[in-house]
Amino acid sequence: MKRTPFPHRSKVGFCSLLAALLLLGSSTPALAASTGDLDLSGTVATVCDVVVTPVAGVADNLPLAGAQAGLVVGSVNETCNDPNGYSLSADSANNSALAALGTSSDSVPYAVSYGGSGINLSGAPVTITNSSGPTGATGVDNAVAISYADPGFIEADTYVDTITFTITAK
Amino acid sequence: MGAPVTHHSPSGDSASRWVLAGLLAWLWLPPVALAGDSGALLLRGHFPVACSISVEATQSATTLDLSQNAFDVPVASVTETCNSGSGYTVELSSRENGSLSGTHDAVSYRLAYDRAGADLSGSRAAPVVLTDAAGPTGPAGTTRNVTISYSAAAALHGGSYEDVLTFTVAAK
Repeated sequence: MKRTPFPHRSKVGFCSLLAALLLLGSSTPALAASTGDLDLSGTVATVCDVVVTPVAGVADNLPLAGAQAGLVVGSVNETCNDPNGYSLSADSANNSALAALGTSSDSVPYAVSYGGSGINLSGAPVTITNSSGPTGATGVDNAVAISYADPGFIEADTYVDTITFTITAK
Repeated sequence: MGAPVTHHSPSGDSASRWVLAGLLAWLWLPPVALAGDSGALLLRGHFPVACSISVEATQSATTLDLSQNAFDVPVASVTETCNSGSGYTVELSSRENGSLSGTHDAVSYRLAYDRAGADLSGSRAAPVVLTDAAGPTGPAGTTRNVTISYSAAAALHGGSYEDVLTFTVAAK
């Protein structure tokens, strides 16, 4: 690579300029004081989680040949760090009924309790928790239980429903 | 101060083994609930197949006058109940293959099941299909009338003549 050396005169001028700049810099030092502040800040994002845990062998194997009262089918853990609180809603795909997977129009209506309190899932999504503050680190657990009358005579089939829980920060 | 811990990144075959091990572990683990802003609870149950049949004999069933001709004498009503979505069958077998049998003689008869004739000859070994439904009954079931007809036979020995009819319902 071809390098062009500075002309002697120009080299002297450059060095003078550099020296002048150094002197100028040294004449404006950082201000010294007996205390100094360093501002530190950060953000904790709002995190709200819901964990649904079915009771194995119960939620997916409901004893339909007879009535059930307060059959615990799962638990829900609500966790949210929003200081303003959060809400939890529940929605049933079949409006609080177990619907046949086959061609039958039969169904098994059921009632739901959440944390021991009855909730009505027969229509639009309903708010089942309306908290004004955050949960603790381990969240809040609530049991989900269902009840239904003896279906009596219904077509032999598999009957299903899905309850969806949604948590929202305020 | 402890010795520094050195982490080695898996490389080559070692990395492949890690991936495989992770995949196997994932496959092996039971399904667990995952955290998120929503979660679903699946409810599922199976209602079993239940088929039953009820036979209500009339008083005539055991008081038949075999010295007289008889036509469509009601002898029973049969209620078929089955919740099988794919339907069900009802079969009938006659112990005497369609005859009322006595010690010395027999009187053959014709049976109708809801007015449809059924040939009971040979039904002891090979039951006759009376109903072949493509779907379930309602909760109350389906009730059929059973009648028999026979001709008076001359010079019958005195005594009792009988047959036993067995109805069997089965889901398809």
